Amino acid sequence: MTERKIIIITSDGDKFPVERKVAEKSILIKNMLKNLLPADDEEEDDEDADEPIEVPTQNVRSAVMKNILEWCDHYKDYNFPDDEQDDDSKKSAPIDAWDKNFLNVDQEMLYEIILAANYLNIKPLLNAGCKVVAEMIRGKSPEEIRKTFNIVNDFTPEEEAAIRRENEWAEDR
Amino acid sequence: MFIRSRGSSVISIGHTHDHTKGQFKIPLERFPETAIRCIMSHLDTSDLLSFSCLGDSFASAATPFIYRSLVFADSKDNQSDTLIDNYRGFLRLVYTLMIHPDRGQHVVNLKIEDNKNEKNDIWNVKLSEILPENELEAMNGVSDLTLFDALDCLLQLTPNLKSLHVPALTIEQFSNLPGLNKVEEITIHIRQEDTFHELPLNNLKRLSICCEKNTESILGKLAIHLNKIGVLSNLNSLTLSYKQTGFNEIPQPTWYAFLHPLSGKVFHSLKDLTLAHCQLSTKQQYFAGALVRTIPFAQLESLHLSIYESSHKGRKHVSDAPVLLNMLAPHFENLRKLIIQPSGNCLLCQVKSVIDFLHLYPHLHELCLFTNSLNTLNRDDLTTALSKSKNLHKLAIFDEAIHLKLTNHLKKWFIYENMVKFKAYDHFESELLCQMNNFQFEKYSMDAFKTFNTENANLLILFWRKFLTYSKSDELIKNCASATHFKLYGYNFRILRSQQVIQLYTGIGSGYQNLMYY
Repeated sequence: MTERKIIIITSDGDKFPVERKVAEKSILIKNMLKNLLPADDEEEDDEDADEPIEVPTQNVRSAVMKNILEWCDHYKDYNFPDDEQDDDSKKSAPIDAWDKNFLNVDQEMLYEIILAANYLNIKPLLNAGCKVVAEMIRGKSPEEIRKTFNIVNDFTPEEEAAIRRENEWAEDR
Repeated sequence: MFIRSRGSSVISIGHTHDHTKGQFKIPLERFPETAIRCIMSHLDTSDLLSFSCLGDSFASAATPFIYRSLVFADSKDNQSDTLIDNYRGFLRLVYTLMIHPDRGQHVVNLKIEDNKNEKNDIWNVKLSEILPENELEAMNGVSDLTLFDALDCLLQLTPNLKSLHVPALTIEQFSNLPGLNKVEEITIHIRQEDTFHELPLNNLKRLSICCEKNTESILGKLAIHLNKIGVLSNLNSLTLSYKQTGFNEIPQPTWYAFLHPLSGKVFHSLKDLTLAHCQLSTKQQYFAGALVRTIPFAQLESLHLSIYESSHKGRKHVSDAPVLLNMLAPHFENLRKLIIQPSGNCLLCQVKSVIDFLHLYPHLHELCLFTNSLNTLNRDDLTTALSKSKNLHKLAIFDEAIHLKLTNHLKKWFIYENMVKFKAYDHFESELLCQMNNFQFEKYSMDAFKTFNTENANLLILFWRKFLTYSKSDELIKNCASATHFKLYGYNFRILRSQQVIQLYTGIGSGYQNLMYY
């Protein structure tokens, strides 16, 4: 039996035909398909069997989806371990070189990939994207972080001084 | 703000038309909460502190992460007043929590390391000796209070504390702390001069005991007490370690006094056992029998053995001499993780016992072996035995026979062939020592080592291309068919079998880099 085709439709109407295991890297789509398709090994007599299944994703535009699917395709045969790691090992685990290269995009695309990974529920990609953002924060002063991300300071100087004073205990460590 | 955008996990895209690509800045404040949490889980405390200065919403998002784990590590330098500095930081924390009691709920882990002053009864020191005068004046009437009072106060302010590691406390001080019954993980250091006190650790899951010589009586009483209140049957993890008090002191079998009074198997939930610096001398047979009677080895999932044993008299190797590991092996059923550290035993007995063990029990998922393989023959035997461990995912080997060669090769490569300033101690040996105490996959410990590797990543890759083959480690990596992560002689490697490539981890920024295709 041939596998039913899956077509992902983006917010701007583009259609991406993909393998099921690629699409299922997204837990959102996986759950969607679970309701639409029987499990692989079950006999399927449905007369629509040849009809491709269309999966609309309203929040992701075509250019971003292209990237997301490239990532999903790269990891289609890889089973990610459950996200139950303790904080320390998560912190120390390095970003994969392929991921790093893959996420070497402009900030706008990185932002959209993270949002899309969050929406589509692709934890390992969200994790990798957040790691890249964390690297942009690491070792920077608050002022430098503000500059990097265009953050408007809503603290008064007094409030900021108070925050710093409260955190003094941690700076000694 | 991301805190308020909880409901809509995705923000409509396409709002960025006004920005040219290069000028677009990621709007952190509009990130979904899951993403912000994820970013913060990757940051260290110092970065989280900067993060909390960005604005109100950032501060409230970072607070739980900043307060989750409070670790006051031993100062790296040996200046005399660093100790007090450390406790000053601790006092500031207590003070902050008194002003903002709502933050106490985030504290899960408290660890105050103080290796230098364990004997100095630091917790009875008065605050007037620690705080500068202006701070004492500001905190009216605290000068007579002690550090212990401050700790007492901290525990009252942290209702969700689960893990408490303050080894400088005596059992008596522990028994006076409030809220011990909520603690799930604790380290207790038992000293010769201590007296026994009951500890209401009713919810304990992980217990670590470090004992000195002549503490058998307290250990025995503690075991009986903990068993009586039902703690031992709920323990998941038990660590028994021995601490030498003098430089030349020979470790004693004191540790066993904790297990001796327990009749039969009382550790119904135990999954993880560590015996560190525990003396067995020539009595492996006796201790193996005794351990099997109390420890449920069949259900054990993780075992860390760092023991002293002598399989035979004299230095000349005797084949088939008894080794504790192999006496315990027939009892393992669920063991997945094993750490073996130098045992003071005959080197050949050590390495052969591991090879025999792997043939006997090929079910490990994770193995960390500290050894001296002595010669190529043993290394080949070890590789063969490891290749039969079909479930092995992670393998760490520290091998003194290789370390010496590695140091020489590293020196030769960097200093003579490439004119790079390489200090064996800073750039390799101290890292090795550090990892021997606390090793982790995919991580390096020392800053100097990390910086050196990042700066010289390309040379390091060229070096390991040669040395991996020279030490036959490439064979080892390839032959352990199920394993993906390796820590060999202090360096981290990974193999991607689908792409037939071995990679070297060069640092947190650069990650894994391709080393060789095979």
